[in-house]
Amino acid sequence: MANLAQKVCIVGEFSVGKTSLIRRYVRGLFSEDYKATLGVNCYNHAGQFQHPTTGETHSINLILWDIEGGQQKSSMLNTYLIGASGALLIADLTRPETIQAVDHYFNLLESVIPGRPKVLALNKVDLMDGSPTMTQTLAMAKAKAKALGLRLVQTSASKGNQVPELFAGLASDILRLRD
Amino acid sequence: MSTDDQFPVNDLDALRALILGEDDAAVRSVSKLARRIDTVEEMLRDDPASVERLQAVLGDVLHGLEGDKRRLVQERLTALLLTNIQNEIKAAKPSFVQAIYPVAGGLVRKGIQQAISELLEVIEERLSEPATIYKRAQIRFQALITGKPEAEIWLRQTGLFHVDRILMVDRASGAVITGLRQDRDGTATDTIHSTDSIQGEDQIVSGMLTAIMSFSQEAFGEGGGGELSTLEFENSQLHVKATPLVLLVIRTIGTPPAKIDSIIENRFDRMVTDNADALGSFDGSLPNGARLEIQSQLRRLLRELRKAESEGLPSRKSGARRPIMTFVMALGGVLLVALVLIAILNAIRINGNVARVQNTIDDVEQLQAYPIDADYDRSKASVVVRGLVPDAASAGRLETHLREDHPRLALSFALSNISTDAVRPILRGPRIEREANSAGVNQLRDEAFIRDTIILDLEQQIGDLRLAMAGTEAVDAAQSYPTLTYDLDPDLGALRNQIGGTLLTALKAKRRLAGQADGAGDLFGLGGGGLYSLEAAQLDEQTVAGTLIGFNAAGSFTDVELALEATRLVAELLATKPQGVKLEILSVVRPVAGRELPENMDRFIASKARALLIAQGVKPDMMQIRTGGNAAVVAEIDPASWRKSHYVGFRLAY
Repeated sequence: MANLAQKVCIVGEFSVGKTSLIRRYVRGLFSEDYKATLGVNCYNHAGQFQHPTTGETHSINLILWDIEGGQQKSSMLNTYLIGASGALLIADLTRPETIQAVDHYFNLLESVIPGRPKVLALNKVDLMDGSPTMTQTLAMAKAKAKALGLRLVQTSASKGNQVPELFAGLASDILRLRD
Repeated sequence: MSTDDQFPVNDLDALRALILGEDDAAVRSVSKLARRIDTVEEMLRDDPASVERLQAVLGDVLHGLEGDKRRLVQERLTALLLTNIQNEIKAAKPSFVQAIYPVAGGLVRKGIQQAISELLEVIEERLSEPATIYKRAQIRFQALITGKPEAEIWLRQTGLFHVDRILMVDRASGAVITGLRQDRDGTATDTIHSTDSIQGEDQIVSGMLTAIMSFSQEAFGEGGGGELSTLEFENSQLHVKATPLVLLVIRTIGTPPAKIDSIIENRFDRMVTDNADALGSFDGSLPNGARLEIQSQLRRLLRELRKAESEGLPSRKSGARRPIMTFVMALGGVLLVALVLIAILNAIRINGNVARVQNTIDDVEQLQAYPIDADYDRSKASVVVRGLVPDAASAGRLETHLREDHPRLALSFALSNISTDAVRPILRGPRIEREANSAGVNQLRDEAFIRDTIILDLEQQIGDLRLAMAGTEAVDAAQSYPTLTYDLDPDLGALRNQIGGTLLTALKAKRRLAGQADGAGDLFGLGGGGLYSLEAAQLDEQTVAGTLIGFNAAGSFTDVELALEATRLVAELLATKPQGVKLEILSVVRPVAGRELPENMDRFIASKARALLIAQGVKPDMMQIRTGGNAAVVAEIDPASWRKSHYVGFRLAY
């Protein structure tokens, strides 16, 4: 039984795979039509998560706010971030510019929910072909994560790689912060 | 160099007139106009004085125009102006939005209101789903008992007031702080004790409601309709009360009491005031004490609403019918309970019967090693005994035994007799049938004997297949199992190895003999003194099917000599075939893990093999290249093994 409800925001540029990652993970979802109108859609995942230090299992209802990409100038983005216990910043391995945009989202998050756990996910790693461009993009993502003090998780929404780990990791970070 | 440079002006004019004919004058006119427009544009650019001059002139000109001319000019100018305005709006969107908002604001608000209203309809549907299922079942049941149409009962019930859900929501996170859910029978449950799916549903709905509240507030601003309060739906209402910290969402069905707003308002104010600290410190959960306190206030609110509803409400105009309805409901409930009890008792009785029959079977000593189960068959309404028995006599004995022990039970039997049924029909060849018919029951009871018989039968079938492959049916066999599949199918791969091995040995022998004597003859004409006495007719098709030429990653032959000998062999063989036979060159590009297939490699290697065959005297029109074959994936191309390299195979097509 879930007894803790936590809001988690998922931000990132257009088409980086935010919704795909969430859909890979959640059990309950709302109508997809919402996002086009409001710029946000809510999902829910009730799960058991381990506390990173005590090892205790906690039941958490993760309320995932999938915020439309490219809302950099929208004042709604700030509004939607309020009250979040943590956030996922998503970038796309095949588009280096989405990694550059992480700075903007990180700064926004820091201004609205300072000190709350955040994790950077580099999505679409299944498309990694070993080419110099992608290798460079991966290095760029690692450097970005290091510079911002974020954990980098390499995910693939299409294959499901590291998707549960991404959300579970953030949930654990949220639990740790509650101590 | 331009045309003007080549011809004198007069000559150019003459040429133009010659080419354009009657259109020459029109072309000249258009050119002149274009030049004048350029000049005017040049004059106007960055020159406000010129613009002013032109505006004045344009105004006069437009004023002076009459009839069609005026309409024509207006049409042209309107199109021009619209395009320019659209471009300007695109370039400076924020300033334009600012400028036109007083005019367009109403439309925008209306659009947003409409969108929000649609979204709330979805929320309403989500909240009402479980109730609808319950309600439908309830109405169907009542219709069944009373004999009245479902629609009539439905209409009568819509007026009854019912509080379905009360949710206290944290406004910042959209999380449900606590909630209450009331069933139709009046049972109120803390939503925290609901199933995960209902909890999840409430969480999503509350999240979206907060998002909508934020959005509408952003769109309309404080006091401009930004705060949603009561939302009417077909048969229900969503009452929303808000503070900056929390939302109270109440979903009611039916006609609400007149005082509903004041009741909610009062209770909400008290809840917020009494629990200000707890609500302010909500971080995903509440201390148990605070949660229970808010829960009890929610229950109090529920009671107040019920009380208000019972103190004379419009919906109670049909109060006279209530006792009848209660009676019908009670009767229905009793009947339902009775039906459920009967079903439970029946299930217990059936399970008991099945268990007793199974125990009897298990007690038969001679059948203890045999899989025999008792089960209940609803279609036959009897206990069915299924399984395997050693022989017909055992089946008969078991049946008699069970019927004697359970005389009042309906029993049916589906027992298989090992001597005829144990071997699956698919594996039953002529030999098995023969053995089954001739051998005694005792022999067939021996499992080892049965297994050996099956193996012998399979071996016989394999032998037949081999014979077919080696004989005149080889063409069919080769076509059924094309070269393309050899390395995907281990058995066919082994066969190919065998045939290919024979070919290699033969080629080596030929080379050796060719070195020893002139005119040593072709591969299959070695004669009685040669190494092979095999006749070409028995081997040629399978040789073709087994002949593969390998290629490395760059598309070079892995063994040039072998490729030459193989193509020569195929060419010789083809020469012996009737006219019209085609040689299919089957090109297979080996996939390497993690890499894309090299482009055009399939046609490249097929063309190389084709070139070798042409060199051996095969006519091009006798050959056909086929690509697109599949092969097993490898880590790297290895020219030393045909299973790890690109390859070309051959097949005869008649």
